[in-house]
Amino acid sequence: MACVDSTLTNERVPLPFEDDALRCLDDVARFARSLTRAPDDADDLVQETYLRALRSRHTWKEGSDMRRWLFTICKNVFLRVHERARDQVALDDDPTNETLAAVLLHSALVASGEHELFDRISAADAIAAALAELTERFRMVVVLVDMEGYNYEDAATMLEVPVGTVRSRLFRARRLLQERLVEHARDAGFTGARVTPSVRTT
Amino acid sequence: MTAQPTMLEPPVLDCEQTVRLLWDYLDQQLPEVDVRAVDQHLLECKTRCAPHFAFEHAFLELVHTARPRVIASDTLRARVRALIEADQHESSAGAQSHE
Repeated sequence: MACVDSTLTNERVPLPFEDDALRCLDDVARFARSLTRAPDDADDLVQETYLRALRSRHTWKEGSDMRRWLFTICKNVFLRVHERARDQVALDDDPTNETLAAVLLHSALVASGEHELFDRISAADAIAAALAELTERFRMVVVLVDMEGYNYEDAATMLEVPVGTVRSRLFRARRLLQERLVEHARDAGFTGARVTPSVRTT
Repeated sequence: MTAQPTMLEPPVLDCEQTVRLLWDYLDQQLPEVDVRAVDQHLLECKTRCAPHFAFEHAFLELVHTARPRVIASDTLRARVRALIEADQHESSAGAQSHE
C-alpha cells in the first residue's frame, strides 16, 4: 500500500519522500477525519502529522509503506492530543466469545425476522453514526482493518499492540457496531422485536 | 518420477468449531487447510452456518463501502506543501552552513 502511482508504471519505483508523502494526503485526511469526525480538527491533525513526519523522516525507510507510516504518526498524534491511550488498557475481551456473540446476534435477528437489515439500510450514514459512538480503541481498529484494508498484523504494528489485541478489539467493535446498526435500522422504520437482552453485553 | 506434494486433509468441523473461525475466515487470516475445512462445512450446513457467514460477510461489505470519501481541501494541501517547502529550505540552509 505504498503511495506509488501504479497507473504510470507497472514497476514499484520508490518516489522521493516528499512526493510519496503528498500522494498519501487524501488517505491521511480520510483517516484523520475518521478519528476526529470534525473537518477542522482533522485538517489540524493532518498538518501536525506531516510536521512530525518531516521531523522524523530519518526513521522512514525508502521504499517502505508511506501510508502505513503516516497513519501510525497520525494515530499517535491523535492519541497524544486526546490523552486517552492510558485509559485504554486491560479492557480487551476474549475474541472467541466475541465471535460467538456475533453469531448469537444474527440468530436473534433471524428469530425476529430482521436478518436482512444489512442489505436494506443506507450504509454510509448508518456506519458513520455507529462508528462515532465507539471509543477510539474500537473505532481505530475498524477503520484500519475494515475500511482501510490492513490485515491484523499491520494493524497491530500501527496500533503498537499485539495481534491478539487487534483481534479481540476488532471482534468486539464489530459486535458493538452491529448492535448500533440494528438500533439505527429500527429507528429508520425497519421494525421488529428487540434483540434479546442476553445477547447484549455492553 | 517426482513425488507429488501432499495436501493436508482438512479436519471435519462441527457448527461450533466453524463459527469460532468466522471472523478469521472472512478476514482471510486462516491457513489454507482451515479455509478448506470451513468451506466444506458451509457447503453442508446450508440452513445454519452458511446464513451466519453470509450475514457477517454482508456486514463487512457494508462497513467497507461506508469508507468516507475525503479529498484533502486545497487549503490543507497548501498548508502541507508549505510545511514541506519550509523543511526543504531548512535542510538546504543547514547543508550550506556546513560547507
